Amino acid sequence: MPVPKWLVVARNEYRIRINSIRTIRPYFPYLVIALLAVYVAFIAPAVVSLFIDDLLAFFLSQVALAMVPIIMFIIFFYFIILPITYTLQGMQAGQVEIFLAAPIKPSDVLLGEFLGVMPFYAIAITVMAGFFTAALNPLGLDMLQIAITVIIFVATFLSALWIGTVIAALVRTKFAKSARGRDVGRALSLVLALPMIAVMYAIMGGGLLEALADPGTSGMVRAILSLLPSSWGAEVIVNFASNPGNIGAVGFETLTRFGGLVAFFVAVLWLGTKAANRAYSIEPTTFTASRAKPDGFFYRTVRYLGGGGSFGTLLVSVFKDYGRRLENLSRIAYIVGLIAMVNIFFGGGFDDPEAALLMGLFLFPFLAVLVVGQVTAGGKESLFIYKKTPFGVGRFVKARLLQGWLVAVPIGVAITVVSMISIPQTTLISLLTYTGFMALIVAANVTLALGLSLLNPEFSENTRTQMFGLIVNAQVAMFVSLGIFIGSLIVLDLGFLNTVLLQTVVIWLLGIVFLYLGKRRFSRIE
Amino acid sequence: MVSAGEATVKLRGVAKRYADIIAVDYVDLDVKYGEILGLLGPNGSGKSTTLKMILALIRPDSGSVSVLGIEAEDDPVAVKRQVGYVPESPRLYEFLTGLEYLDFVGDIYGLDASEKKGRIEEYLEAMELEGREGDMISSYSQGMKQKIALISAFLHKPKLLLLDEPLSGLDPRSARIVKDLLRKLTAQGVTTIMSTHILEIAQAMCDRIAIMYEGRLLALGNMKELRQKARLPGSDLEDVFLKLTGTEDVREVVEALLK
Ligand SMILES: Nc1ncnc2c1ncn2[C@@H]1O[C@H](COP(=O)(O)OP(=O)(O)OP(=O)(O)O)[C@@H](O)[C@H]1O
Ligand SMILES: [Mg+2]
Repeated sequence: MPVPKWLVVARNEYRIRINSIRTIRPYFPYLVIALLAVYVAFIAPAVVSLFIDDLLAFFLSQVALAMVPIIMFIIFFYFIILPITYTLQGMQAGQVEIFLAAPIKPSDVLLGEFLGVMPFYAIAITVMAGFFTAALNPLGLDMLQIAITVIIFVATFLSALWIGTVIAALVRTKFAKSARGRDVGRALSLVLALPMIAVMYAIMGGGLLEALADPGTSGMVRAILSLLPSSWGAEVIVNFASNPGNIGAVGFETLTRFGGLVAFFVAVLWLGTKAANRAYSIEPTTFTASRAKPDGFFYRTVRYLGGGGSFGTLLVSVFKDYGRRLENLSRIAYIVGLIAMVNIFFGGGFDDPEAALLMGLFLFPFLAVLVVGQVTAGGKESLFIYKKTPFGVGRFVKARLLQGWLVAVPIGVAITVVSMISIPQTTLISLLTYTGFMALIVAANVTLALGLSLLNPEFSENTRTQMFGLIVNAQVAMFVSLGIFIGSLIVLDLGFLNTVLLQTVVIWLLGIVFLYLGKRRFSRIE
Repeated sequence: MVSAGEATVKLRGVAKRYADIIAVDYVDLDVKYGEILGLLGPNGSGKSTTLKMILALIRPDSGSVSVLGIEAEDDPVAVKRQVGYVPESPRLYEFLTGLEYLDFVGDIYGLDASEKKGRIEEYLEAMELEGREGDMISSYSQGMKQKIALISAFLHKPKLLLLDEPLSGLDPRSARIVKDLLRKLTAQGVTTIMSTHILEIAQAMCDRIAIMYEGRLLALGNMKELRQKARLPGSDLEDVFLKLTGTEDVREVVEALLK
């Protein structure tokens, strides 16, 4: 019997992913599983306990526990909408011709590609879950409980990703046919984030900090949440926590819920395939012919800012390329919309400027990564255009950097001003100081993000590959910010202003280092 | 099933437009069983679009395409199973080795393991790629990539070959190998439609030639018929082509440019 087509596609996708380590390819899965096990069991708890003293750790674990259903839900939902928004914004599947020409069902391609990258998503999720179980460590879960918790994370979020992937594919076939449809799709991708924000808001009852302290207050929300698969796993984790080290205590319940979750995952995979078969097609989407207009005021200004001359021209062409690929702009609209909504909903919840800035501090790395995007260079060929000219890569990097700053810094400043101005305690001095720092932090984050994307340029035109690269970059950038934040505010107790200062300096330094490394890497690509 | 003497591919009133560009303009075309049909025409005349519609890769706005007795619209997967296609600029998986890629293609078409292995080896040898099959495709030269694309079109023994500029990037020796291979396949009853810009190749290889211009089928026939149509007896394909597509004055343009 021939191998099923989806398996062929999956195997191929997987092979492509691990091509850079092909010498250890046969052992790769065992190696990764062993490393992840060591990480979850020993490294993550050790790292967490290094930083946090016992009392705080216990408090953290209680908070983590109470937040389980909410965290699970938010990530679940996020993972559903992630592929959808991404596809809706990009709207073209960079399908390799081979699938188009081959006698293969669209659903086989969809499922196969998903299964092929699944191991890598699973690794990322496990890393995340490791932090979480480490935070629960003071409660004294045993190894089996920890392992099951990790599997719950993986099964829940992979289901979410797959649901999102299928919906994205279906929606794409519906909308991608016309330019009008694509606009609708983009608008939709923004609207999709609304329910998540609304639920977050409802759960937190309008007050971020109160919600953190006593998250179990809202009974109705809990009831609604318990209907969702993300909560079945959460229940298991909560049960574990109330019976640490004793897996038998609620054995039956655990087994049914856990079994239910796994069954859900399999069912979702199967149903998704059926749904995809019905509606999803892998026709190449036709692009609408677009005609270029003469340079308007905007580009003339940009050229002027770039000092006229050849660098100005390069800057303008980088900008044009960016603007033509509309998805970049819609990505920015997306993040701005998201931040605006967060601010509208949480606006009342902040009672001092610092809390208001907190959100920005964590969202800016994200903003920067989205603005910079992936350095695709439109395939390797166009890279050579830059490389052919002397100092070409340096100039290319400079133009990209300037472009990132020009786009991101105003957004960052606007967000900071908007979120601070609504708070009565804000003085003119504090407004100016923080806005200045935030502008510097955004610029630093852009530098860092550009460095990261240069280090890891993406030549494939597969949207899923590009999305994965973006997620990785965003995670790195977030961890940097989060790390500095926790380090200076909680561990070293330096106070908010100093934290902001430190954030500014460290991200700038890191940004410069990464940019330098990235540029070097990029110049050496052949 | 289609057999000798019948048309392998039938296009009836096929049209395709992109926004305000008419790519293919109501084309009727019968491709005979076991022939090599050359598709000629200036850049943008609709050759690639026509090939893609025959493959059921894109859907015509109007008209019907039937391949080996199958309506492309009804069952595109069945059409694709019978067809080998080389796109005009093949994009392969750069991060696979040539062997891995061909292996993957074989699996996609559902070949069984021993058959697949045998054919891959045979074609790698024929294309003089043996020894390089373990290297990453990204390290291949243009022509080597083209050869891999050709092999992946031949691998599942298709009954119809759609080749979009198949010889581009090939050195004379390799081009010769491919030409010989195509002749051999034709003798076995494989039908081929190939687009090309190299008129000598069309003249030497093709049983009949179709000339497209601005989406329309201007002329169709063997060399003799085309000469008659252009009223240029005894001339070569280049003159015929230039006359039929109304670009005779290229010579003048070139001369003006060189002045
Ligand atoms: N996806 C597309 N979107 C918009 N227009 C297209 C698309 N594909 C082809 N066209 C247009 O259709 C027309 C025919 O294109 P096609 O690729 O079939 O030409 P061709 O004869 O293969 O040319 P060449 O000799 O350059 O390969 C051209 O005007 C082209 O611009
Ligand atoms: Mg063409």
